[in-house]
Amino acid sequence: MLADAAAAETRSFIATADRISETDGWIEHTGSIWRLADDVVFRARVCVAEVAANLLEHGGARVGGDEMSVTLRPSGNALEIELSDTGRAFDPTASPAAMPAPDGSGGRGLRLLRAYATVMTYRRDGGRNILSLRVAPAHRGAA
Amino acid sequence: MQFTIVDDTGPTARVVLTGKLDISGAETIALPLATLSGGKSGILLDMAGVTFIASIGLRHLVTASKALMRRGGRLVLLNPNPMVTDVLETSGVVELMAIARSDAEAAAALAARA
Repeated sequence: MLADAAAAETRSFIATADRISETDGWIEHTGSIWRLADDVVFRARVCVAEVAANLLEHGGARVGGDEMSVTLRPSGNALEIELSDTGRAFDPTASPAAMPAPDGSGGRGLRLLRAYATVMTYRRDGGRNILSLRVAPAHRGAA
Repeated sequence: MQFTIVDDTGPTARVVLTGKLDISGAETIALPLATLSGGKSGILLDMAGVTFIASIGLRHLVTASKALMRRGGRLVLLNPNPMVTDVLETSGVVELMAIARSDAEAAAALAARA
């Protein structure tokens, strides 16, 4: 078990393609420092990428871009992630009927998010979307 | 993300993708992949060097695949790693393209026009 298992790391940024890509690299790096399994880190990156892409493409609420923050916390062999953003209200735990057009990447992104996050809770607080995720190892030996 | 056309002399093209097919990687492949899928009857994408993919990257594969299928062609993905394969399967895009595990399988998939 990691000595600093209670440690958390946070990054806040304006959601642009470059910053989202940079954040993906940060998650990969942090996951390897915490010695998490490759599939946990990979799935966590997919989850964050899907929420960020949705914010960038559908969630725009602020001129000059929306702010997003990502907090990572190791939890045993799993990773807990809190995503907070200033975009329009978007609850990925809501019924599919409330989701963006199924033909866009929104449908696929949501499917991946729901498949890879073993726990997902959403709240809207102070004008922000706050999504808590847990990504646990897959049972397919992909690592 | 690197998009390298290794052979485009025949009716089908072979492309090697290397790196992260994330939001920046998707921007890199968008134009060359769209151009190629508009002019070829099939594309073989060597995916062995792709280390990451999410829905923004998938979208470009789907667009290319649909363009090829409209003309009876196919998009064939060669050797995506297990985690990338899982994304292709979980997202449902595998229904729109073929995954091959060898050059022989890829050639057969390209020959089996939609």
